[in-house]
Amino acid sequence: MELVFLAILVLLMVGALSSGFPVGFALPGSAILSIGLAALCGWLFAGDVDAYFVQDGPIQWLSAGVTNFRSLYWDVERDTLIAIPLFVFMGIMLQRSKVAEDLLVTMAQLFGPIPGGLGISVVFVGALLAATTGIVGATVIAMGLISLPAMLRNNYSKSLATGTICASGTLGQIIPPSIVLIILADQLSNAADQAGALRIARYKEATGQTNMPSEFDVVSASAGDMFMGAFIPGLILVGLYMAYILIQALIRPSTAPPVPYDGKMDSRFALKVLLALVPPLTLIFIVLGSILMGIATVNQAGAIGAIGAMIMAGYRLVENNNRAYYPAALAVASLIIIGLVLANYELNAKNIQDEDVPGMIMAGIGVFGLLAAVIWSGWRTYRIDNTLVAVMIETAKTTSMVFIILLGAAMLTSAFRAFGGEELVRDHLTSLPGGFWTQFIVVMAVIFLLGFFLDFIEIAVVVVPIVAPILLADPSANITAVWLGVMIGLNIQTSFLTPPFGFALFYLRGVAPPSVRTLQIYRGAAIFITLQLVGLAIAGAWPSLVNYLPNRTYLTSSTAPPPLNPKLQLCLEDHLFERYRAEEGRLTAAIEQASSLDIGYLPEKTAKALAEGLVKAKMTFELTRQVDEAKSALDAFTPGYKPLHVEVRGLEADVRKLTARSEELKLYRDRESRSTTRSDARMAEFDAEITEISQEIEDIRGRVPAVWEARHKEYVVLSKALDKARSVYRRNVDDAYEPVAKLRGTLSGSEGLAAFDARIEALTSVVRDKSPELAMDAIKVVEDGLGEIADSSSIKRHVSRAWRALRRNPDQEKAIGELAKAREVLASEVAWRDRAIGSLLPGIERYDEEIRDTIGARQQKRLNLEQAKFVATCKSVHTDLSLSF
Amino acid sequence: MPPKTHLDRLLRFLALAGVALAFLFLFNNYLIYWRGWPGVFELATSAGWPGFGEATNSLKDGGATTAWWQVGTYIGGILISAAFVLRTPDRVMQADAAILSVMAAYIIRACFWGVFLIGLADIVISFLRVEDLLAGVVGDQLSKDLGRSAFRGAYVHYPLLAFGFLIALFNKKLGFIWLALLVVGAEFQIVISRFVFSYEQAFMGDLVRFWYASLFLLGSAYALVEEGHVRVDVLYVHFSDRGKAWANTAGSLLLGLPLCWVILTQGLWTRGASLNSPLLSYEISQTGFGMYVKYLMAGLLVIFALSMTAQFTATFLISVGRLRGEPVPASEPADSAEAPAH
Repeated sequence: MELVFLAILVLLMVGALSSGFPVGFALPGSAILSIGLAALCGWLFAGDVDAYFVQDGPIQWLSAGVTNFRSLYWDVERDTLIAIPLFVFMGIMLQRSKVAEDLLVTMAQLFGPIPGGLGISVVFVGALLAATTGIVGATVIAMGLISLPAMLRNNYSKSLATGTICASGTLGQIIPPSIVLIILADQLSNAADQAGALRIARYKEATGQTNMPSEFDVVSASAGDMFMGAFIPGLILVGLYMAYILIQALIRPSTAPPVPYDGKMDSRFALKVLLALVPPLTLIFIVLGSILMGIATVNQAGAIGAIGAMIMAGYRLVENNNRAYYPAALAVASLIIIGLVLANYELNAKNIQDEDVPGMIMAGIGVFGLLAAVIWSGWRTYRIDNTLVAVMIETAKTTSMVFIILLGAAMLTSAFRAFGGEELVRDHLTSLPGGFWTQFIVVMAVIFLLGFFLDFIEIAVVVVPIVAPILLADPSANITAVWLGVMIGLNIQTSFLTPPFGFALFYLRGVAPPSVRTLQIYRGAAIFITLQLVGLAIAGAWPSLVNYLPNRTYLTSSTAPPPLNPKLQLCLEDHLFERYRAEEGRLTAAIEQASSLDIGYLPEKTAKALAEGLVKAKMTFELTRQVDEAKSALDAFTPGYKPLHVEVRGLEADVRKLTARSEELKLYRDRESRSTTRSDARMAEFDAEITEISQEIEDIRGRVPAVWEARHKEYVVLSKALDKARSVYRRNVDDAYEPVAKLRGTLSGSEGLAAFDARIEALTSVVRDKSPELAMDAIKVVEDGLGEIADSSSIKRHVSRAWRALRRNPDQEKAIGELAKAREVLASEVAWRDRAIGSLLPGIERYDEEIRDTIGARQQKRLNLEQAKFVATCKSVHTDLSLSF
Repeated sequence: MPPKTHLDRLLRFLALAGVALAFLFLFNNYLIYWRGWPGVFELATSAGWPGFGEATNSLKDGGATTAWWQVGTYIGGILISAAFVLRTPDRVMQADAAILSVMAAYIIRACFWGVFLIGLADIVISFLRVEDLLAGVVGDQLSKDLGRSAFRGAYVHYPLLAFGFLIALFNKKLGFIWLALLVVGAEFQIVISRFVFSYEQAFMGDLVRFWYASLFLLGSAYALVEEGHVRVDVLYVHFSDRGKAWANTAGSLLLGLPLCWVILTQGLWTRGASLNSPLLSYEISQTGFGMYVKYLMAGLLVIFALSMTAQFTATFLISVGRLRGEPVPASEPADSAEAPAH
């Protein structure tokens, strides 16, 4: 029965959307209507308002929806979305103040004289206009109004001109900082959480273990990740477009003739070009750069962009005035001051040192100047043509539009779940033959078709939450959320270009003059669709293009995980094993050399650990080979085994599904048997169905190949052997390196140890002459001091005992005795440490330098650049984890 | 324009009564959960009205009387709406819609001033408190009191909100759009203090979040009037004027208003409901020294529902008026959809 209401929900949604009522209210409205209808029908026909819901009742689902509304904006986790008003503000400010238009006009003048130059400029500016708005229509219209007349006037072929504009108008959706990428990131990170839970459940079903190793986790996506992931594919698209226009212009010059610049190419022109190009490009560079390099959060970059756009508008709006550039110049000067201060001082408002005061004052001046420039520019945008108010109105409207859709989708998702839609989609998708890639292609095709009717935001908030968890959870491709998001983005963008429904074409038709025939627009779009599909195929075939940049930024950022992190091990080992193979000679030599160091005078434990460590270091190569052997044994086995594994796991999943169904039926049967209106016919029906299902389960069990048990056991043995070999290797290198690091730490942290001899001696007289309380305090001070010296516990132990001896029944003699012992130990410690610092430390340091990037890699605080690059590359490709599930 | 019939009057009455009920629902919610009144529902269960099961008689005489007063407010609201319609039998629906729009605009303006002032005041208090300067400025006792969210809410936030309602009487400008600039400014302030002075506190992020939530929740009604909410206009652009009016009538009645009512009822029905509970307990964020405005952000959703109720009713009246033959006002072109917003 739920499915009927699911169908009603979908129909109502289609009806409400196509009636043209605002999407943000059509989505929750149809959800509420269908929940209400289900409750009403339940009450009328089953006497229970909850009857037609998968679980819970109408009140629970509606209030879940309202709680979702609330959580959209009041949780810190959703802060990503704050970037939307900021980037919209920036984009609209650039557009309204004509900075964007200047950019296009100047680019066209500069590149016009080369073949296809005007078209190339349009592509370039379209890419830069990305942030203006998340709405395809608006971008295409803006681009169409500015550049179509210019292209037609200069005898561009009509289809090339319109195609270029449509394609460039949609380009903004995929190139950061685009707001749809932010929304996708928000939705995908929720989806990744759900997918993680699904995968854990699956792991538990398959292996019976509750703890899934963290290397099998689903990789989530933040807005910054999304921006970085979309960056290279976006550039590839831009490149493809430009290359196509250039080639077209060279082959058939009449379709894209060069546009000679009328004026003189003199210094005035150069200045104009500089003023029009440099500031907006710098701004985009700063905004994207600060995100890509992990310096600022996406929100902070958005604020920088918005303020920067306002400063630019501050001079652009003032025309023919010598003082136009004053506020901008003030801003630049202030930034230079701030930059100089930051280069020379470490300012921290919570902890101002005396030497920081001049820096603080200078920074204050810089900030004051910057704020003055911002306010000055803001005042100008407010006064001139009411630009600021227009920008604020547009920003408020667009932001509201986006968020009300997000609110609406939250209610829709609630209703969809209430009627079991999620499960339905999951069951249907996962039962498709052909595994993950079929599911993926089906989902992409559906999204492509939906792109004819719905805009980017609607698809992102309605479809992504339903399908993304299923795709992300699948271990057989283990795709990342970023890659999925970029593929969806490219896909929708293509859909917008596709006749006859593509949005971009539709809107360009609206602003194009009648002399341009619709067919010409279609023809123009066709070639760009091909380019777009090429871009999609490239990003699909080489996921590294998407994943590498976010991975690398993460692994080299200040929040990077340490090399010990289990998620990094496999990739890190690939890298290290390669180095072991290549550098065995050098490493062995280093180990030999370290073995020849004289360590006889070290404390017994330290010497033993060091000696054993050296032996283990030598064993590394042998263990590496054992891992390789285990791996090749497993690799040789898997190709024959994998189809069997997939088949049997599929059968097992079917059995689980049927078992669940049978349990459910038994529940209904029980209910029926206890019901007052019990009907024997219905009981018999239940019984028949239950028997049928158990028969079916038997059938499926019978289909499990006879070899499965044996083959699976064989596989488990081999994979356990590999795991074992790896963990032996890991423990071995840890044991090999730890003593080295520890000794280095001890020796370099021993400074000032010798001075404690006098201090402890002084304590002896304090204990003898002063009250126990005073003495205890004095001992405590020394004890704390010792605590700061590396590896001093053997001395500290005796000092502590002296303190304890004074505590309850003060025993001064015992305390003095302990202090004497402390001095004894201290003397021997100082003796070996001094000797070691002189004769051993340089050798140990050299040894450490030699092995720290290989044998010692796991014990370092962070990956070095070379390792980070390798691991980023290694983690950027899809890996098939299905054998672990 | 055809003369007004009883159907016109009935539609006007229903629309106005709906808005009145929404306001009264809020008012009674306040009486029930802040002032401890029993409420209509309690009366119904106590007296065992049809459909509410056996009489529980939980209300004693005094309680029953107050509850009857509450019933009276609803009846009064309905009667006043009816009286208004009967007194103005030939009034065009657009005129009623205009009143509702003005009402929604006033609420939004007032709330803008409220969140603006509260944001400024609270961030100053939060800053002083984090830096241990508050006691020096306002004295020990007041400083301790300001550390409690119930005190800060009742003696700082609510008076400022009331002041906002006062300002909004005199200042008729479109206030909420400034929140766009305020969000930019608040985030930029984080940039400056983080990158130049290495100073970052939880309350800075709270301010951005508070203002940005206000921006889109308060902006929604305006966006509805100004066609800012995106429509799927594959078919809509081809509709005739009547077709569009039908779409908007049905949409505001079946899709828009139910949403507002779901927010109001599901958010406010019980003490523990998702909007009542933070408001009642002056809920604040867990981050420690943040701003104390989280409960107000739940309240914003109530304001959203209320302003949208008024605005959807106005849309409903305008479109029904169109269908019933009311002329298009001269100031507004027949097809107000400018550049398609999709």
